[in-house]
Amino acid sequence: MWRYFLKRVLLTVPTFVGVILLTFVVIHLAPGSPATADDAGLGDSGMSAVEHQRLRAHYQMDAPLHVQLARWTARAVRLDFGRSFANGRPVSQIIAERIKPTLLLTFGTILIALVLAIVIASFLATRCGRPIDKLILTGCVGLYAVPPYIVGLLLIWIFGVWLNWFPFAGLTSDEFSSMTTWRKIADLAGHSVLIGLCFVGPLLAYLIPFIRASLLSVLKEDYVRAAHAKGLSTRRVMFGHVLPNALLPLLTVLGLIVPAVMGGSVVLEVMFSWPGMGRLLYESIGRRDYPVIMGMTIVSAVIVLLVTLVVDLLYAWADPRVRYV
Amino acid sequence: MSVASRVGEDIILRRSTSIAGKRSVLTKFAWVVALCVVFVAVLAPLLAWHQPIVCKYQGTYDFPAVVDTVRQIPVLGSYLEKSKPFRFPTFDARKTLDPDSFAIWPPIPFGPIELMADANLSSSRAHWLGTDDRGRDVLARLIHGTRVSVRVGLYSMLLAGAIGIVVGAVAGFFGGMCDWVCSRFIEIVMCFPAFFLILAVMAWIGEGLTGVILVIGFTQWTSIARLVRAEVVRGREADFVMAARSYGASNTHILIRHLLPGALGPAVVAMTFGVADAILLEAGLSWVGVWRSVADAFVGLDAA
Repeated sequence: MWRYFLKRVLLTVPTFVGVILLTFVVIHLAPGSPATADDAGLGDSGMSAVEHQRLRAHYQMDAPLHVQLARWTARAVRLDFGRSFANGRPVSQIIAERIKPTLLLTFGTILIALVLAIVIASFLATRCGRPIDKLILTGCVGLYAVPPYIVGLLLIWIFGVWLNWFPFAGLTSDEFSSMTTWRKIADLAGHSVLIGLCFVGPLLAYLIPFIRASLLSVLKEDYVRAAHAKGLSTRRVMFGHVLPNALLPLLTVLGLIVPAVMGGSVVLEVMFSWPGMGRLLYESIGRRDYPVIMGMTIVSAVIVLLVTLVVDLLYAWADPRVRYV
Repeated sequence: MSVASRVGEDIILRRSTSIAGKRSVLTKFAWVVALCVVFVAVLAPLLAWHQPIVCKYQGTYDFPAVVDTVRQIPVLGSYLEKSKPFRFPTFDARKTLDPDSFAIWPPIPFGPIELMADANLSSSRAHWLGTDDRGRDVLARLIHGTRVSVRVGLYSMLLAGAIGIVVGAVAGFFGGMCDWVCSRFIEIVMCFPAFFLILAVMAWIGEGLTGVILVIGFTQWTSIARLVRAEVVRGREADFVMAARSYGASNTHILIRHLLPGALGPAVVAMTFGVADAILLEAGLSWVGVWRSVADAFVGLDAA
């Protein structure tokens, strides 16, 4: 087991190197340089050749390519992506600020969706083929087909504007700093409801049919019949034998969902002015703020890399057969 | 984008087999809807355009909307632009055409970027879905937007399919070091959340429909590659491959004639799912304002 763990952990090293290389290639394939982009940020001021040269030297772009690559790698490993063009603050500091709301949103909604989906799917799997099963499955397909930002607009319109139940802009209210701890939590939760629903909805539409199918295939297994035959209660069969086996493939799906949710956060975060990574990316693209864009690309790739690693290790721990592949 | 963009491959397979198993009413209905969408996309200028389908101008009959429809077909269109086998109508029917002369207009006689007098009209007999904030007919924009969506979906997935099938087949067939390198490459591209990578690359490739198609194609091929690789690995040791080897078939022959046909099924299913994701991605990109979907496409067209 430890041998597999070690092998799997070592395997992330070449992937991480590849991520850094790919980002470097993307930067250097691009026409124009950060030096000219910085100029563009100043408007139509025009830039003297001397000033341009100074900027090039500042971004160390006059060095040979392999030296630049080495420097880039050294900086990327230390998560040092330079300073933002827009306000001159260190990129890592900006990202650190913005990463918390996104992580909260991503992992919070995935957790809620997982619990809900497991409950609903178990309910459906034991009622396979009945009207309620068909109804919810059809609903899932429908929900799956609707773009999340349409759902977002509808939710804002109905619950934000019309009924005025939930706030729909930002992470906290204006007077957040003067609130008591409990009020703070309530405020945060209130602000997360609508944007959270936009994430949970499509996740449910995707997870329920998946878990249901997985449960159905396990329910057909001989060991489930054997468990029933030796007189275990339905509950013990469900929780002791069916669910652990049926939920195993869910681990793989989890590794695929995290990048999808994080990537999908851009539109929704902008729509709900949620101060996360997605909106930061949106703003940075608008300002052509290349250090921030590159920094965020690497940080999000690293998060995905770590999630995949954890998922694989968990899988190996839960299903010993994997280790011998 | 949607959660679907990194669909677990086994789900794709399971769904595809369950759908193919029963050619139900639902399948037929889906076909009809898909064909309608393609129909609307291809014939958009005949349904909504700022020029008539047929009109009599200065004594001769002209077919401006028909000509524009043909002109927008990818290869044929550019061929016609060069060779000019017939006279292209160059007049602006709104301004120069005598209102009393003979003309058959499309059912929605407005172009997608044509500015009407009033903005934000609600639906009326003239504007079935009203006009938008800049006074453009919403239904006309919807019809021509379909065209953009279908184009992005099909072309980007053709590109993604080509990359995915080649990478997956090479990785699965040759195995060893080659497989290791290809698999790491797939992993690296998968590591970047799609929307992040697309936005970052878009900042450089530039805006415009081609840029969007290229970017989506170059980032969305990973699940196709993994599917094809898995299929090829499974088929590599099969008896029929052994048989082909025994009569001296080359590697390329075995790969193309014996292994790829089997791997193509799952790849095509993944591609069809990818078309939907590509369309949603494109819509998301234009919503964020990385590029302006319909307006830009047609500004470019008008300039040409």
